[in-house]
Amino acid sequence: MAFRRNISGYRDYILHAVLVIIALILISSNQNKQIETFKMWMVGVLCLVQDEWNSFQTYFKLKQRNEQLLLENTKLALENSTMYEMRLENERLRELIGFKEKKELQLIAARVIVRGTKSFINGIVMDVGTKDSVAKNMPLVVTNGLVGKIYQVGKNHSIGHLLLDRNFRVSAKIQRSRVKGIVSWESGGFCLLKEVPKRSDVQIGDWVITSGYGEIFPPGIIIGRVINITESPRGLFMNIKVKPAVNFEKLEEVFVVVEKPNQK
Amino acid sequence: MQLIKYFLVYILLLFIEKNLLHLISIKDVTPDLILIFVIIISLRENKSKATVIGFIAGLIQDVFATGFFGLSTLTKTIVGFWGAFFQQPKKRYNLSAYASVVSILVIVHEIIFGFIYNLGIHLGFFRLMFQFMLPRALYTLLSALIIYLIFKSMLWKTESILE
Repeated sequence: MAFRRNISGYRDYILHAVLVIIALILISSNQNKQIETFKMWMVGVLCLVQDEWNSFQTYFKLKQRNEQLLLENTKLALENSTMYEMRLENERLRELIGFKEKKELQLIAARVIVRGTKSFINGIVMDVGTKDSVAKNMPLVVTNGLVGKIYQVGKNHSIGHLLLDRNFRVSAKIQRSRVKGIVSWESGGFCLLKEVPKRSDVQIGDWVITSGYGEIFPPGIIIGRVINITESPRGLFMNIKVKPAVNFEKLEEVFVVVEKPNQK
Repeated sequence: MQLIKYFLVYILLLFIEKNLLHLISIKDVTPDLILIFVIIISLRENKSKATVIGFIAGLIQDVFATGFFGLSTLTKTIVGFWGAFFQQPKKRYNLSAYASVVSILVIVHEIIFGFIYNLGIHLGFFRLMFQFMLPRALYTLLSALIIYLIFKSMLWKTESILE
């Protein structure tokens, strides 16, 4: 009886300790398959609600969006005809010098349903999953360039890590001079091109593209443009600030690249 | 009945956090509405209730977040429990007392969050603190004060004797 009275005095503390321990177990089992499955199932539930909300929002923007698409379509049609001419010319030239044709990337269109707004955990939830042959670590792109990669996959939905995520790294190179480095997020809407030795040929305005050296990203996808270069007297490397080509605030649709570079 | 009310408010806040919060983000920093929710609950309810509500609120937030699973569960459980030490269910806090209590709890939350998050990314605790945690803590505190000024009579029915 006395024991029960003693225990009831500490009830709040015991409850607190138990819940803290459960939370710590959850943290330590982040890569657990069951937790991932549970999370993806819950994301699926959220997406049902989110889908309705998105359709509701889209309804009011349809007219404006239609006009925008029409304009874009016309521009693209013009661009396409020019590109077609260039492709034919390219093929002829490749034949002349005996170049092998690269396989085209296979893309799956995905709609962004949720975008994480935490200041340093930048993720998106998309309406594609294993049923669409999407798998973990597949690259995400839009027409402007690299968006990120698939982080977790459920049956109908998947979570993507964005380029603007603290944990994200991609092997990259300067398009003009082929200088190589690693791109990772710096702060705000900017990235850093790291591990580029001092006095390398890098200029403000240079395009940074994926190098294709990793297992995940195909080569030649635009990451962003160099906007600032500094060199500290002590370090061995340059500090190259890169502005991503993609506007992450207006991300509505993305493409999942199904084919990996090493499959080519 | 009260729990249903809390749940509905929580769902509304989660919806705002996922859909509308980016509209008021400053350089990608947004206030943590769920933290404000847990703090206000802890100031109104007893320790057990506040701890359990903090735990559930954090767990649901974790499910829909793309970061470390369990991190919000841990921090919100701790804030719920320790916030209940400042519990004042009947009398309303005056603004300065409320601001002090919220500041302490928000800082505790950010320190624990930053410390554990840093174990996973090795960015450097102080850099993480000044670059991300502090701006978010300040924005959350500011939002908590605005919420207090707008909803104080709804949250605490009786005027504080200190006012």
